Amino acid sequence: MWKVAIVSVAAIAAGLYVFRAEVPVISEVVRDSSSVKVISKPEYSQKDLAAMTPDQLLEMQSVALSAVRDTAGDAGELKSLDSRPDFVSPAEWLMLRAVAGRNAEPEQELLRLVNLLRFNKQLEALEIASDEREKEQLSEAVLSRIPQRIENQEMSVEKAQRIQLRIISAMYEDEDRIRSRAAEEARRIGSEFNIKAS
Amino acid sequence: MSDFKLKASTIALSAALLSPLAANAAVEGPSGMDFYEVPSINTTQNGDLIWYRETSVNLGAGASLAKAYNVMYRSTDSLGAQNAVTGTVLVSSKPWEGSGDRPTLSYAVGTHGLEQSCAPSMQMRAGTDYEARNIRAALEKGYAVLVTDYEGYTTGATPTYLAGESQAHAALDIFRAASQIPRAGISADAPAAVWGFSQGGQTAAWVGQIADEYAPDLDLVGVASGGTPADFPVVADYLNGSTGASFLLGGIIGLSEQYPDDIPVNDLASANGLAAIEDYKTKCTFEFLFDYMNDSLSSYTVGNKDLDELLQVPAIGQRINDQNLGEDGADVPVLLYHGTADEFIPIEQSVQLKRDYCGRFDKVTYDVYPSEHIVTLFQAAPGVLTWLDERFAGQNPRNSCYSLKQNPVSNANPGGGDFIVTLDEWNLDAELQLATLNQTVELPEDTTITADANITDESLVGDLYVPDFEAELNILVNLDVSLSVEPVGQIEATNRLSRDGILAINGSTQANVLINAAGFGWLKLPFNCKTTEPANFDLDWEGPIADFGAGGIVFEGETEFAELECGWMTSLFNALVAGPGQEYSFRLVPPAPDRL
Repeated sequence: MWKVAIVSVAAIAAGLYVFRAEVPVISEVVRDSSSVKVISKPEYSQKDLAAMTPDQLLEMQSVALSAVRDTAGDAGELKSLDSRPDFVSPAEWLMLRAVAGRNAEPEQELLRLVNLLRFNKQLEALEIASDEREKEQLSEAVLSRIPQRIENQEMSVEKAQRIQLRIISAMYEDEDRIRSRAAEEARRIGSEFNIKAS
Repeated sequence: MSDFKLKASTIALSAALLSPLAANAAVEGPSGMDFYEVPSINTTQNGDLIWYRETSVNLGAGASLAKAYNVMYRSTDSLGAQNAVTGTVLVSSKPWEGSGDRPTLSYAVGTHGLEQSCAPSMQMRAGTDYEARNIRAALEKGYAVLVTDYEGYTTGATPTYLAGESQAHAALDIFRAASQIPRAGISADAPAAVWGFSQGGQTAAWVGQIADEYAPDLDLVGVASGGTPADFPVVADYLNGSTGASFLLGGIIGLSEQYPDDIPVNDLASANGLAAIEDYKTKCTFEFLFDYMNDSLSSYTVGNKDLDELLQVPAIGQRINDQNLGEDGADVPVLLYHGTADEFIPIEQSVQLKRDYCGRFDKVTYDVYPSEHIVTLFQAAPGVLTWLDERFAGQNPRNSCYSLKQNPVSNANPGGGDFIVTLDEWNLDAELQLATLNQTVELPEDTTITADANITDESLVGDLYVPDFEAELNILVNLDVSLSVEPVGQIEATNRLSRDGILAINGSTQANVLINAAGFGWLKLPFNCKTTEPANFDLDWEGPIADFGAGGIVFEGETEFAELECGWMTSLFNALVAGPGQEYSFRLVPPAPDRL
């Protein structure tokens, strides 16, 4: 797994090196609109990132994931962005800005993507967490943020329910607690929770 | 004497006693079904208009149609007896941009059924004609399109189905009739061509053989004949007890109508046979196709005589052989085309027709389609229309007589069991519209589906094949990636062909999406992203059977990509690539034809 990660980092680094041309960034896209707040340019350019070793890039990813774990109890959605959040690595920031820059509403899209990335990282952190307190915090954070994913149409209700049930089943041992919490979470995403009698 | 002939004689007698309308004066016919009652109007020569009326037709959305007329005109049957035939004349709304008069194309339909309401003029009006797509394509070219009903669709008559010369006369005489419609803008001197498939292919080939003699004034520039039944005993044997058995029964009924003394069907048929004939006469193509599938002729004859025994009766054998093509040459360039998987009409006897024509130094173009009968009917339309365009433009045709390519051989599914249409490596023109990246990813050109569409048990089971391919993802400027779409399990669908020719497919297929490598140009490094669950692609479509062969089946929808597992990029790629709202469009296209 680590080997794959190194090679993947090398791939991105190679890419960053080859593509030295400036990517379309948010600040350029929204420059014409005085009503839209311009986000500052990234602190690392593609050239900077391309010059880094795979270890340095991996370290940045690791730092960003640690930021998610350090704020495991934070269940809220970011409402605005002034700069790169700690849980977004510089490489991710560069790519998210490039993708959002092609959207008709780049600032909102960047915010949505950043919140989605954080949600995904919380799920990822939950998979590797061993500390019970951290697991509980991450579980609650993910559960609380699922309705926003539905509202943003980032996942289907069916998939959301599968994630809910997987998390809730790991949180409780008591079947009644599982059922009742699953029903509660299902209601929050406008669905129902049914278990067929075996 | 048949009821119709008795009736026709009575009408003629009435015409002589009463005061007939003047010959050659265009008469507007009555509305409703009265139009199909043969009136007392004298005509002087074949093709004279008996009467006409403006009509409305429904050929589907976007038809380039300016005006439509029903016509009744004088023609002759295979024995030279005068008759009255109906048809439809369609004038394109497209301006003719070539030189000279707007060309006229006699479109000779394939089997429609013996019941009056099955006639092309009736079905086009009702919007149910299964060949409307080809007619529409011809109108799009700017031609005037003339569609004869053939003999026998006037009220009270029975069609002389598969009587080759009768059909050819009807397809030729409609040119003159159309030119007599007032203000329709159709010139009798316009360059003319005939196009038909199956029964229509038989008609077109017969036209090619007799046009010089029967319609010497017509400027016929070519005939396009597809799915041609050229050797009747061979075709009859192929149909007997097989998928297309109903066409044999229909042929016996039609030919007995033309040759009642030589093929006395009422004497030959058993009680079961007589009941079948009465029933058959009430049905259109997609009804009797299924109702009589795989039946043997022996189940309808007195003493259970089978086809071989009937053909040994000299008068019957003679009349069946009279329908054979190739004993005379073609007077004009001929396009022959056929599907190798044709389950109704074997390709080998079509190739023999090519040999016969080539042996007489006729100009023959031969195209080979990799498909079965119904698919070929519609798949071939663009190629046929190009060939016709070239004839109208006065170009020399490609001559397949000197081709060194090997002659095609049949790979049709065996008859006698379920009606199975095999999609052998059909192309899938497929694209995915990625939601967050807001970009279209086109699957490679050699993406294919291989499947068996079992029309009998209404199932479709097959495999999707997508070769690995390169794409650019809109991450950073563009991230070159190697992608795989990895099918999971088989395509499974229901596949229903209704009795009015509407095909409905409902099913799905599943596939994982893999990002195998990322990098730039020659530099590719392993990446190993893969969706953790396959995406589901619903395959739902409903429309005319014509769209099946014409590449008109498009499965469209939205799917959800499950999370990808991508090492340290997992969260980022899941934010950018995973999730719902991924649109897809899969167009099913039969493989390209081969040209001899």
